[in-house]
Amino acid sequence: MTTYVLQRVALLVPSLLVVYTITFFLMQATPGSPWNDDGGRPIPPQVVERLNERYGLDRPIWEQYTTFLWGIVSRGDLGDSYTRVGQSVNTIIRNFFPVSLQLGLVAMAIAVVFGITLGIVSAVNHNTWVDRLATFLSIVGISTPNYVVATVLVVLLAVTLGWLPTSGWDGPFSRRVIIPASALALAPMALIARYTRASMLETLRLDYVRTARAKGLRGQLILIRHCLPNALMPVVTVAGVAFTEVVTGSFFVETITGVPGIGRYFVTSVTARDYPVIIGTTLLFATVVMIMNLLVDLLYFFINPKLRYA
Amino acid sequence: MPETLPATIPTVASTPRGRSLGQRAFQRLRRNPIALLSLTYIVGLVLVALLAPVIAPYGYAAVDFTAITQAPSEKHWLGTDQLGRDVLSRLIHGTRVSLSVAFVAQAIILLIGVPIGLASGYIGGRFDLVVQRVVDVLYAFPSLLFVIIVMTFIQANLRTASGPFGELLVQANRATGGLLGVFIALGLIFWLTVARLVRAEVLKVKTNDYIDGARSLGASDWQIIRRHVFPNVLPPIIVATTLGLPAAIMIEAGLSFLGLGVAPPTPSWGLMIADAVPSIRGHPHMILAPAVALSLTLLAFNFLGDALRDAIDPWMSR
Repeated sequence: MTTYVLQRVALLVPSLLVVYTITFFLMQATPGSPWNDDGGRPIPPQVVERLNERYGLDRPIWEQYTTFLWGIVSRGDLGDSYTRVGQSVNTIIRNFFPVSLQLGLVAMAIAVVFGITLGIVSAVNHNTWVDRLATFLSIVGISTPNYVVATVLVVLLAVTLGWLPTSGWDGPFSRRVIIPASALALAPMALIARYTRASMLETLRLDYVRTARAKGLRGQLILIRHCLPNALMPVVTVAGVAFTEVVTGSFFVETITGVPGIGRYFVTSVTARDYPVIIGTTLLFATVVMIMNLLVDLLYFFINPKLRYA
Repeated sequence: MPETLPATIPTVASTPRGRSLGQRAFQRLRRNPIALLSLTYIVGLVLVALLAPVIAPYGYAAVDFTAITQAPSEKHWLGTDQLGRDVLSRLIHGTRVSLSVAFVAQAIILLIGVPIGLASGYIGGRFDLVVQRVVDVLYAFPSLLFVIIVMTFIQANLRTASGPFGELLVQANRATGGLLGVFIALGLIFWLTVARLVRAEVLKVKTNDYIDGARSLGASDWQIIRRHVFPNVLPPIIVATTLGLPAAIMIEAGLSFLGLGVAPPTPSWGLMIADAVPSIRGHPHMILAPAVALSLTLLAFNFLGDALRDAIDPWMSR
């Protein structure tokens, strides 16, 4: 077990190195430079030269590659942003990433609670109209892109009815979080509901459930104490994957609802050729993805005694 | 009671039921009204995309400044947008973008993913180990970020491409409304899922006795893969592909929504949604049309994929 975890952790480093290398060279091979801003005033060549010198862009590519890498490895320094003068990428991540993370957590909380409830209700009422409606709704949920959901919610709840503010961010426990979090939550909620339903149906057919029924235990107790823990195992995997998708894929929703998260920042940094921000964000997201995958595997291991004692 | 071997060994094709898995799957599919409805919708959409210039009442870029942001009327069934362009016509032309992304990207994904998955699962050993490490590492790459970075790279390079091959690429890009980058970027990252799926299925199939049987009868590796492994791996590939189509459509619309996808004035549903956001309050018809079209299309593909999965899944046939 320990060996397995150590192996997985050891794999993190080369994986990040590959992600860094691919991103670095793709960005370098992309024509254009951070300084020829489309539409803006043309920058004098002397200034461009000075800027290149300031950010080390006049050096050979290999030197840039190793200098930047060494900065990350030795000091955890992701460099300075080109477009936000005087701000380091570390500062930007510190300012914007927590927002994305909080938004993602609220969204996942909604998705997990409603998804599991919906899944259980579906499974218990198997093949009735309740089940069919829930199944239908979950496919609708998966099929509606979060940017459409976000737009519809803004139009409906904020603009037309005026119940909620149209955009902005006041932390994870304010009214402003409702629209972006709901928009982000819909797809993972639908997915979790489907997996919960399927695995609940399988569990309900098992012998030990019949035994529990025969013993005369109350239906709800059987459902919650006996079935749910077993049924939730495959759900954990889906929820883990869904969480990384919510955190790393929130830029559509962040852009529409004006949430100052890292996703929105990434999009502007790509068009502006802000290399350090792009590399920093990509490395950050890659780390999130890998750690989450590892956590899911470990969690799976702990909740499944069969795997633990094998 | 000692049994004697039958004189002729019954072949697999003449199972008592006499119907192939595909036929039985189709039978089950035909009994599913939602799946049939979805299939009809998709076929209709393909026809609309093919006949777009004929069906569309106006050109997709035909600007009419005398008819800006009009509500639906007899002349413009779905109204007009902020430049006086007919929303219905743009919607119709937009099907070309959505469907071409879906099918071309899936084709690239299959072309890369299936052979790698087959080889990795079948050959096994060190080769499999190396492929799996590569897949693992690429899996860590946040897929949407990868798509955006690769797409920016391709699009910027297309602007400066030269030479006969470069010319060809530039023309291909123009013919697809600037979507070449999206196709390639999607293909380069999402083959991972297909490769993993195919490998897992191959590993399952490989343990069957009939594979050993075929080998002992002198079948070559190529014959075994083609005749015995591939047909068994095909159903999950079909399901994954059907469910991958809406994913590609969704990503394209999202990228175009952010202004990273198609080049205007090529109409993409995502771009139409983005264009309509500022006038959401006064002219909701502008956003409703592409949003509904997009959601319905994704819904149809997902319903079909789901029904296909149920129809193909052997557990369901009991």
